[in-house]
Amino acid sequence: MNFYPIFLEDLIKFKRLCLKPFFITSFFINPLLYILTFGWGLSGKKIVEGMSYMEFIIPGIIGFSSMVNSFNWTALSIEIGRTTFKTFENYVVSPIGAKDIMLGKVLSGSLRGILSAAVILVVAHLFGIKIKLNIFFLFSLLLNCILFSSIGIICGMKSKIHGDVFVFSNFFITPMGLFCGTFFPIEFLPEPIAKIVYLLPLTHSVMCMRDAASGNLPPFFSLFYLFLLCSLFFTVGIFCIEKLSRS
Amino acid sequence: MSFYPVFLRELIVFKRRLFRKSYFISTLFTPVLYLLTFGLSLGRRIQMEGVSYLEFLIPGLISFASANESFKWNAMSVSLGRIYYKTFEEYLVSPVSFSSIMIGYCLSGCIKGLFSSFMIMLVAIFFGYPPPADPLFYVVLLLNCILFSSLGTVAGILAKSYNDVFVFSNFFIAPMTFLCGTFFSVKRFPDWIKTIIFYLPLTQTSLALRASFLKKEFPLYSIPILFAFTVFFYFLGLFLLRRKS
Repeated sequence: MNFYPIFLEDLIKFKRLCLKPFFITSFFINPLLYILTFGWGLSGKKIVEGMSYMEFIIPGIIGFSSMVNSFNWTALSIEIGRTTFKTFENYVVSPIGAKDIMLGKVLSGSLRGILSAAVILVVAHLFGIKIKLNIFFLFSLLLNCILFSSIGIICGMKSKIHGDVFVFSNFFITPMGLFCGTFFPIEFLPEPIAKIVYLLPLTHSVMCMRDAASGNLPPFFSLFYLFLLCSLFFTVGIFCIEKLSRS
Repeated sequence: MSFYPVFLRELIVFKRRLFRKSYFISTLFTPVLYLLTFGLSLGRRIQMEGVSYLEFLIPGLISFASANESFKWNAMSVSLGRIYYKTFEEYLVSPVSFSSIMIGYCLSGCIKGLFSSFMIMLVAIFFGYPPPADPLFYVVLLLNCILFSSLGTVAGILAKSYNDVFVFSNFFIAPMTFLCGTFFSVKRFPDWIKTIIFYLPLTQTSLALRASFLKKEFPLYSIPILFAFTVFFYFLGLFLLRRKS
């Protein structure tokens, strides 16, 4: 239970932030605009087979938004704690291991990702879109959140000055959010690009969520791939924190 | 000519920041990324108002980028200068009139808006759509940039804290940039919203730019509407500057 103080610290921070209007608006305004613009604005066009475009993009936007929120939360809190406020050193000198720091941060990052997904589910419900919230959907969402929280931690640990995280986020996270089968099937892309995009984790989590949301079984290969990447990045994160504590 | 120092200062800051990857990628690249994403994927697959989605999207994104960039730059620069660095006070104590400050900021914001619009036009050339030769296209683009940089200046003067700018931009600018005929046709809205949306400045810009881009009949009434908005925000900024100091 050593991870609990780390998790609690983030929860308290989160609670305070929730009272500020800029934070709340930033939470839902972008996903809402994506849903309105593309889901509603382009509805009635024949874009994907077998379902309306709105039904198609809701799981994509959930994947996108939970990814961005999990990543930003852990990456920024670690980066600012290390470079600006130096609070990260308190963790390192306290009697908690690198595993606990990692676990606490990943849990708080995932919580934020899941909350942002919940906001979108509520909006989708208002638009009358039925999403089947079965165990596979929740499992893929959770994997997605854990994966990108871990990547956020690694990124926060590697950044040298405040602002490096934004570069990574703009270089990888945002393009990934737009290309990885969120707004259109990856087959629409030119062949070589589609092959690269297929290797990215978000492609698989969106694929799983989309299948689960329409009541089908998600492809087990994708779930396995996500799980593998999750454990890989989680371990790398622990390794990064350990390296810092030793120096 | 006393607006020149204000203008020059902003330009120097812009030049320094332009070559930093974080600025270049994050702000100038985002509209281009939208163009690549939706242009590559949906561009030739669906039709919007009788043209391919790509042709529909390019002028929309030009108005999106110019408005966003002009607004954001000025709102940030004025609010940061007022609240954090206190550099804005230097203008107020120096022998530069309020109107010169306003003109300086409007022009400098305009440069950023134009810069990011040209980035999109550049990418559009690769898709096979060269920028139109119609001078009215550039008149509207310029007006749009000046309009949103004065609005940005107004938001910067009104902001009580740094976060106020984000709230304002999340509540007004972001919905406007997505819904005002940039990504999809305004004809989709129910009638009562359509009337409101129609008179928003960005709708006028995107309609006018699109008409000119697709060589359709140019809506001449857009120019006076945009002009009226520009004059209104300019004098609002001037009024607020006078009151705040």
